[in-house]
Amino acid sequence: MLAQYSVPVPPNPVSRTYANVGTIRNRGIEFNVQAFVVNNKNLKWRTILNFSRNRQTIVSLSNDQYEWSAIHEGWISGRGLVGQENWTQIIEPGYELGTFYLPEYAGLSDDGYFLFFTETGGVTRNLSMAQRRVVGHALPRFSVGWTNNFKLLKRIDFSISSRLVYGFSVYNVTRMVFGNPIWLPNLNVLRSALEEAERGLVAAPTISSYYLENGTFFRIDNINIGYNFNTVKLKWIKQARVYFASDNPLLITGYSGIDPEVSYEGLSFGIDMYNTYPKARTFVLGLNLTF
Amino acid sequence: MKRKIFFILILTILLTSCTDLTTRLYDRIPADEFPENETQAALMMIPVFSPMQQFLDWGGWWFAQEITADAVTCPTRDQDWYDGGKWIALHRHEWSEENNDIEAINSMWYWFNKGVFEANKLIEFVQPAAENGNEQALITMAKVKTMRSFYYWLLIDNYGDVPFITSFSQAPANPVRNHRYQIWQKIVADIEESLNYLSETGSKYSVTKGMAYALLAKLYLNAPVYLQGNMEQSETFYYQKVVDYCDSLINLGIYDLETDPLAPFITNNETSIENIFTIGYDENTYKGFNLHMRTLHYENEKTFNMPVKPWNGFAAQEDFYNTYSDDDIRKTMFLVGQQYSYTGQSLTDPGANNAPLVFDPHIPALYMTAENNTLEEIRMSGARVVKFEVKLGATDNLSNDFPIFRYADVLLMKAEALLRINGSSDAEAINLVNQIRQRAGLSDWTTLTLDSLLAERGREMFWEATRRQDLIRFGKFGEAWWEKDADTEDKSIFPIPKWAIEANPNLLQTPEDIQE
Repeated sequence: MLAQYSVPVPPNPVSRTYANVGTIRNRGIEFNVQAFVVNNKNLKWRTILNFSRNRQTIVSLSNDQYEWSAIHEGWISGRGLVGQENWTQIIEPGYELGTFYLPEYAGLSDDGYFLFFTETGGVTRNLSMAQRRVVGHALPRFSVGWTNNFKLLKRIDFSISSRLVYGFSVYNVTRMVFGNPIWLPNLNVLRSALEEAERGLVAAPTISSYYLENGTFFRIDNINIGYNFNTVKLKWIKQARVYFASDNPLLITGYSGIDPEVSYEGLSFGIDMYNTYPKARTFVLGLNLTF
Repeated sequence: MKRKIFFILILTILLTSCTDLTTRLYDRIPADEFPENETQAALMMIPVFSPMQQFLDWGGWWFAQEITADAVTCPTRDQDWYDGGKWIALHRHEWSEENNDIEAINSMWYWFNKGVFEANKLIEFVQPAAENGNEQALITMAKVKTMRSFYYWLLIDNYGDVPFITSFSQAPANPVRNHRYQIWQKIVADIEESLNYLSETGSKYSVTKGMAYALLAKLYLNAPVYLQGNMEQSETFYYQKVVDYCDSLINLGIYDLETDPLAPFITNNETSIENIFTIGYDENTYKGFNLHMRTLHYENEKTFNMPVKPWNGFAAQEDFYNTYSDDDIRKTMFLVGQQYSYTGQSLTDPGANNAPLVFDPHIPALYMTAENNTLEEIRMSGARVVKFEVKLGATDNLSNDFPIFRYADVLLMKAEALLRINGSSDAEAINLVNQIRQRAGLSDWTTLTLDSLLAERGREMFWEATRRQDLIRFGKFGEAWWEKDADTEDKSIFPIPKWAIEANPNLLQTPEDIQE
């Protein structure tokens, strides 16, 4: 596993270098079922069900030359965020990749500041005194894909593919920064900033499990329905089909941001840092003619 | 038989061909002939100078020299400029061996050592050519060794004992620290040996004789600080060296005071006769000079017809501002009172309910909050600084060069050394300081004390990142001033940053003697 390791300055001209030192273990199951549920002259129905579950666990991060006991990952940035506490994930032997390791939110103080649990079980408003705990995972517990194809009366075809991704967390930096009422009235904010203002929040954006959300979602990725005309009598045309298709027509999720499907690259993921480009919802009406 | 003839034929060809085996290269230059000329040498040296580009911003150097001293401040303006407490930590001298994770101090370590690294790399590269007697290589070597000494000067000035590495390929993997006084001896020797190869004229962005003399004057003037307890000579010896090197520089006859005290700081000041060694900032091609953004108010955008809004932060400390008399020409570098647009309209501040934009030199507190302070106090307190001209239409990066060494500084160094050698009756010292005062439109002094010299030096060198070092040399860095208590322990050096120690715990080790 490639990671950045600290090297001495001097003599090095940089403070970090990439080294292929760490070891990850991938362990999971995946199965795929395909069934022709109905298969006769007037109706053909094929269904494909796919289930997968994978665990990426860190085995080791060190060798003779480079050593890390743990790496802080998932650094976030934004207006009002300064200091060394703005990391969300930990990479440590025994933990999964994408483990959210955050100060645990314990409510608001009477005067509107964030409170966090401490090691001894009390609460503190001082972030550096807060105890960090494993509060979620960026990788899903499992995901299920389900695709159905229908052919009706030889003329009508219909397909739908959908996905359920279950049991993962997204850190919503967008809500943390732009859902904070201290920017009012000078900056544009999210609607949630007004709710936070009502709740009495006066503190600047601060990292905590409060902004970690359940990302579980069900999405219909694609629907396609078509009608094939009878062209046997027309010599100049081989095939004629009219169809309606839609990408991303439906998303069911409890996640408050634009899309729980954030990037899955590198060592840190599951972070929505006002850079999630909204997935387009498209509707296409089309005609296919083959001569 | 046929085969035999063929064999003889081949042999003949082999024996008669190629007797001169010297290769002539057309597509490359042999290492011992490079650099062939000044242009090639200058291009090679760019990486050695480029860490300086960071000095006024991310590099942290300017902040660590000015915010820690008694002239400049970065007050917290309610929601703005608290920045995790990093400015207040500098202002109140909160760093220590334990509190060693402060941004400006963290960054300086990186950039100074980066400069040393690039210098060592280049020295090793030109070494074979220099040993071969290649003149350009010898000159390059001298310049780069002087630059390495320059970075080590900054390192020992800011951090005290640091690893002293002079090799690229043989550098220790986890170096330990060396004594500051030993590093001082080595770098002074390196510069003095280089002097012969340096030219009198040349780019202000590179190493000239004048640059080296000024650097030596700085090293000798601060020698009692750097050599604490390890001085081999009397203090007078070191101060006399300052006088000598300042004289060498003055006698070059190529530098002089500008008539206008603010002329060395105008936009496109690269031809100023006063500047000796500068960072050659440019708004497009060499960015990094954005101190005007940090000091000007948002609405000063209209004062200078800027395409961007400045950030409304830094200001002069009131007590320091008050040391300028009203007839001091240099006082025009401060923006105080009602502010105007470049077309002459009075400005108001929409962020303060459209109150007139009036800068008040009085800053009520280092940490201003909406609870304790008015919007006017939070947003408009503190005299703002335009020592470096902000031209109409300036962007977020200035095109003014930033002087590291300047002729006025040299005159003041010489005056200080003379004063320290001969006491307050030294006529030449008084005359030198009076040159600076006359130019600022002030009356002559007839006596001079260390205190009055420091005060004049402060007014002249304000905003030029010399104040911390000056206060340390005068033994005043630990005193109390506005919003800062007297230091309870020595704060004249910064701690080696936490991030560097974590990667190399040897940095905590007791300094070792430099091995020859």
